[in-house]
Amino acid sequence: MSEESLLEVRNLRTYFHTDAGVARAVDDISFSIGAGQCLALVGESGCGKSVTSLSIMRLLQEPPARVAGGEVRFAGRDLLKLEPDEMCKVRGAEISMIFQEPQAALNPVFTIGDQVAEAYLVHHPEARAKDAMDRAVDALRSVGIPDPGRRALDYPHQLSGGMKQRVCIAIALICEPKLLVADEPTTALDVTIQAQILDLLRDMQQKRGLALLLITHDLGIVAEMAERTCVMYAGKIVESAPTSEIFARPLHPYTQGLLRARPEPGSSLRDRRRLAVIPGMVPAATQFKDDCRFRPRCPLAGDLCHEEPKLEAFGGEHRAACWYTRREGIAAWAEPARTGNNQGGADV
Amino acid sequence: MSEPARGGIAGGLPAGPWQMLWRRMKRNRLALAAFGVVVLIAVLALGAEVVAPYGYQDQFRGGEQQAPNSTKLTRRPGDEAPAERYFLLGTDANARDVFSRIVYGARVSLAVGLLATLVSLAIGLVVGLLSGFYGGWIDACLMRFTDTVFAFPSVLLAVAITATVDKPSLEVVFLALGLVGWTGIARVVRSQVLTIKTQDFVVASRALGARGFHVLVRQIMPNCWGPVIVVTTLAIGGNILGEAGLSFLGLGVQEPYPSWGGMLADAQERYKDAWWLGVFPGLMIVVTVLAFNLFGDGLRDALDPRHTRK
Repeated sequence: MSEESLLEVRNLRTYFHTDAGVARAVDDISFSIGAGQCLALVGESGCGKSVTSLSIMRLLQEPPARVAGGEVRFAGRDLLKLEPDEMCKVRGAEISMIFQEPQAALNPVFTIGDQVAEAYLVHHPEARAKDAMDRAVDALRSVGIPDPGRRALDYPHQLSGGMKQRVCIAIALICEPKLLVADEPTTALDVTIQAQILDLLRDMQQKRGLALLLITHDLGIVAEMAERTCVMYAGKIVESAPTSEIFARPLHPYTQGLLRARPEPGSSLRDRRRLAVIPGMVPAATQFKDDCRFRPRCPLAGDLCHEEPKLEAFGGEHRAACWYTRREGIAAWAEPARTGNNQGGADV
Repeated sequence: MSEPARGGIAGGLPAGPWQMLWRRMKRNRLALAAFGVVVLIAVLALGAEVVAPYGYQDQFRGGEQQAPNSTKLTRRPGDEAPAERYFLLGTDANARDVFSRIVYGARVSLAVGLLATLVSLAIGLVVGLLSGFYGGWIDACLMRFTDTVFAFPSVLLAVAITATVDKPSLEVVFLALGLVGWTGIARVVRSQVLTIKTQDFVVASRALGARGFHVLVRQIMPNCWGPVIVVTTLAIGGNILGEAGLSFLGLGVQEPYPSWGGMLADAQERYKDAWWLGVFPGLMIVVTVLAFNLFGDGLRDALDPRHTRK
C-alpha cells in the first residue's frame, strides 16, 4: 500500500497550547491516499478534520499550534521536515487547497482573473503577465465559468457562491497539483450547487488524475465521492475502510450512530420518526484522556474502554478502534423510538 | 444566490472598489462640495502665475496698506510712470497685493500639506504593516516606538526639529511635520492588518505557496487602502495647519515668499488699522483645512458599509 501512495500520513499529532491546557486536536492519526484516489475524512465539528488538513499543508499558526510528531510523506518526502521555503514550492504546485467559504477565500479587491493569474505567477515568476492571464482565462473555462474572458474582469462580489467556488478550484488547480485538499468545499453552498461542484471535482479528478482529500461532515457527499473513508472522532481515526464497507458494515459504534442519524430517503413527515441522535457532546479537546474518547457516549461502553483501543483490522482494509465491536456488526444502537403520539396538535 | 446570477443585472452592480466608492460618494453633497473646494485651491496653487494679478513680491509705491476693493495710483519699481491699480483684497505694509500673496501662499500650504503627509504615509505604512503582520517582539518594539513619538506634543517636536536647522525652508518644514505625524497612520494600518491577516483569503494565498512578504504586500496591503486614504486625507488638513503654525512662529517658509501663517504673523501688529491683512489668510486656512476634513469624513462614510448617513 505504502509503495504506491501519493500522500501518507503516519502518526500525525497536532497539539494546541492554550491557557486551558494542551488541546490534542489531532492525536496519532495515520492514513494514505494513492494517486488519483479520493479519501474522505468524516466527523462532526471540532473532531480535528480541518486541523489535519492544515497540518499537512503546514498552515497552522505556530504557536499556539505545534505538530508534535509523525510524518507527512508526500511523493517520497516528509513535508514536516521541509524548510519553509521548500514548503512554499510544494503548496499550490503539488498540493492545493480549497476552503469552505468561497466568498472569504477570494480577495475582495482584485478581479478573479487577476487572482487566478496571480496563483500561476507565484510558481512561474518568469512568466509574462499576458500569458498568465491567458492561462487564467483557460482555467476559468475549464471549471465551467461561462464567457471566461469577460468574467475574468469581475470582482468576487459580482459572482454567485457556486461561481466563486469554481474560481477557487481554478486557482487551486492552475499549477496542476497532484493532490487537492478540499475542506468542506460545498458546506456553504445550496444543494443544487453542491451537486454541480462535486461533479466538477470528480471531473477534474478523472481528467487530471488528481488525488482528493475530501473533508466533510456530509455522509451523502462521502458516499458519492470517496473510494475510502476515515471516520474521525475527537482527534482520532476510529474507523477506516472502503466507503462501501463503511455504509454496508459500520463497525465502530460512533460510525453506526452517525449512519443512524441520517434522514432516510423516502421517509415522509407522516412517519413522525425523529432523526436519531447520539446523546452527549464531543468532549473539549483539552479534556481528552487516555481512554476511549467515545466512551461517555457509547452504548457498548464497558470496563475495557478505560484503556485506549487501537485500530484493528477486521478483514481486508476495514479497520476500527473499539474493544467491543464484532466482525458481523452488532447493532450498537436500539431502534429510535416513534414519537408520533406526543405531537398530536401537528396532525393533519 | 442561484448559479447563473450575472454580475451585470439590473443596471449593473458597480464593478471595482473605486466605482463603488464613487457611487456612495456622489450622494454626500457636503463632501462633494468640500472636494470641489480642494480642487479649486489646487487650481489656485498650480496656476498662481495666471490667477494672481501681480507677483508676490511686487511693491507698489504709494499703495501701502490699501483697503480691499480699492484702486490707487501706484508705481512699481521699473515702471515708467505711476498707473491706476486695483487691489481686490488690499495691500500690506510693504505695499504688496494681498490677493496675489494669498494665491502664491496656497502653493506652500498645499505642497507642505501633501509632502508632509506623504512622508508620514511612507513611515506609517511600513511601521504598521510590519508591526501588524509579524507581531511578537517586532510588533512590541515598533508600537512602543510609535507610542513614544505619539507622546510628544507634535507641534513642539516639529518646532524643535525646524529650530535646529540654520535656515528654515520648505523641505525642512514638510520633513519635520512628516516625521512627527505618522503615528496615527501606523496605528490604523496595524489594526487593519490585524483584522485582514486572519481572513480566509490570506490563508488561501499561503496555501497557494505565496511567501510571507508577498502575502503582506500583494494580499493584505491592498485591503488596507480604504481607512488609510481616510486618515491620510485628514492628515493633509492637519499638516496644512501645522505649516501655518510654524510659519506663524517664523520657522516656516521665509520672506519674501508668502505663506498664510507668515501673513498672519505680519498682520498681528496691524490688526487695528488693517483688518484685511489677517482676515483673508486666516479664512483661507480655515476653508482649506475644513475642506480636507469634510472630504475625509465623506470618504470615511463612503468606505464604511455599516455607516449610512441621511
